[in-house]
Amino acid sequence: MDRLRLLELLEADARVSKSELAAMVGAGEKEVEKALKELSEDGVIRGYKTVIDWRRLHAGKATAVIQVKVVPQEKLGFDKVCGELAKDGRVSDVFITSGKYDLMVTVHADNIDGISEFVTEKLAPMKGVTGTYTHILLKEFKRDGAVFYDAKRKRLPVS
Amino acid sequence: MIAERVRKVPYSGIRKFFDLVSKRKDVVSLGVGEPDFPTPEPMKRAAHACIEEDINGYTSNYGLIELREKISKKLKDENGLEYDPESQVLVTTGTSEALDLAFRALLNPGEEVIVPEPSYVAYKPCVWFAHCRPVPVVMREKDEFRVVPEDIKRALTKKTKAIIVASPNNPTGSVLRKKDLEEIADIAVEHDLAVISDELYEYLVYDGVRHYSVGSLNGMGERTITINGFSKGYAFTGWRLGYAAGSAEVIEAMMKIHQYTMLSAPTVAQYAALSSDKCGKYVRDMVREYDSRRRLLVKGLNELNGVSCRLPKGAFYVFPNIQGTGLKSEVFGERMLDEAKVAVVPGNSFGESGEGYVRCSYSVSLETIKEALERLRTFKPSF
Repeated sequence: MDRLRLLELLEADARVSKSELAAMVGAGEKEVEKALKELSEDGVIRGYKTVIDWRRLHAGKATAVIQVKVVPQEKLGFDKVCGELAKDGRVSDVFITSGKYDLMVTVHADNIDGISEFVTEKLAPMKGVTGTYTHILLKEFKRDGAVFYDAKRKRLPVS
Repeated sequence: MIAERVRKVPYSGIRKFFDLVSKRKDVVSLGVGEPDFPTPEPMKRAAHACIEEDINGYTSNYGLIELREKISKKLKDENGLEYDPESQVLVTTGTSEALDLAFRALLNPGEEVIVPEPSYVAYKPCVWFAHCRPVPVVMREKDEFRVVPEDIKRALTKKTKAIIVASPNNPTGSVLRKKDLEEIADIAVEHDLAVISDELYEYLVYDGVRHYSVGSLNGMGERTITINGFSKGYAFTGWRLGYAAGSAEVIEAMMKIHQYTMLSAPTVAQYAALSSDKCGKYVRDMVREYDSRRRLLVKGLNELNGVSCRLPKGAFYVFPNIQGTGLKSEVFGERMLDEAKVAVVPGNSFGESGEGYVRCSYSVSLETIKEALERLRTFKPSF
């Protein structure tokens, strides 16, 4: 079985059923089940999520992408700071990146005050953090592969 | 006022169904006959550059020489065909034009063309428009919709001039094996016939199946007109770009008609196609995606009462047998549209031998296929 294809299909749609997956990769359902179990146990599959356009509900959520400058610690590098950030429930992504800054962090809150609170009270005072550069998201066009606007492409329904 | 031969040609069954579907809302369509992917980036960028640089004139009647050279190289490397770019390749406005030109260049009034069916809807009308007679040869499900040489032989007369080979096939998705092509080639050589080989779906093959070009077989280079294009493999349908390759004599004759009726193929599309050789990964990714859809759709169709569906090896169509429902293709299609709001194309649109089948396209997203299958679960067709 093509496990990479299996994962691609699952990444595109986490709700796809085992029998559908089995059909699409040309394998038996049992075989797919076994592969999924192994991939989860091995930490390849890290979770299943739903992509939600909160703005449609006028749910007034705020999201920021924050670049963070960090002084690496002896032996630990950036791991300590990253680990601490990752534990915070408001944070959805923590990446170590190349470029002028060292980390890229995505943080979610109910409103901009919440973002501000995260930056001023949690992030900026953290040991090792020497600078932050906060980008509040203004509009979402695409997230996690899901497009948030109506595409214009049109095809004939029958041709 | 209308010429008799034109008046007598019926409208395509696809057209009829298109009209039915267009009047309705909230229909999930498996009736589409073109890719749902965007054109690969390198081709789009090449087109942008062409527009920005004001390259807005005609090209050579034959098409850009750089493009013909690339086509010639492609045909050599991938298909084992030797065609001189200067004199044996003609770039056309879609594969449809190439087909029309081939018939008009080859056929004298009253001659016959063997058309294996079910097949693409344009073959027969194009033969009629050339004042000739298409002779259908039935392809059967039990032969996996591959043409049987004995059937071709039975259809031959003194007036037979050419045989159409279309593999991978629209609407059945069948792919001819090398052996099938060799047998067709033998008939063509023995009876001195031309072969018109429509290879538009060439890149869309699955399960490790290989596409062969009949023109690459012994003695076939001169008598084959290989017709192909960018539409299906490169998601390029609306750009209208195809080509024909064959003997210098036939290509020159086709060019003669082309220069007076079309002048040259769309210039921007030709410049875009120059970058098609950079798009291998795009094509492979599309094929991978089609493959998953194909399998999902076939599985779902086989779960419906009265429906059975083979897993075809090519194109982006499946051709389920609906005879178990006791309904004719058109009735089945109309009821499916009315009761389940799912559109397919009745099989008889592709020739009488398509009766008892419908064509479902998987050139739609996995989401769409799932939605269509979900709707069909409640569809209970019977007398």
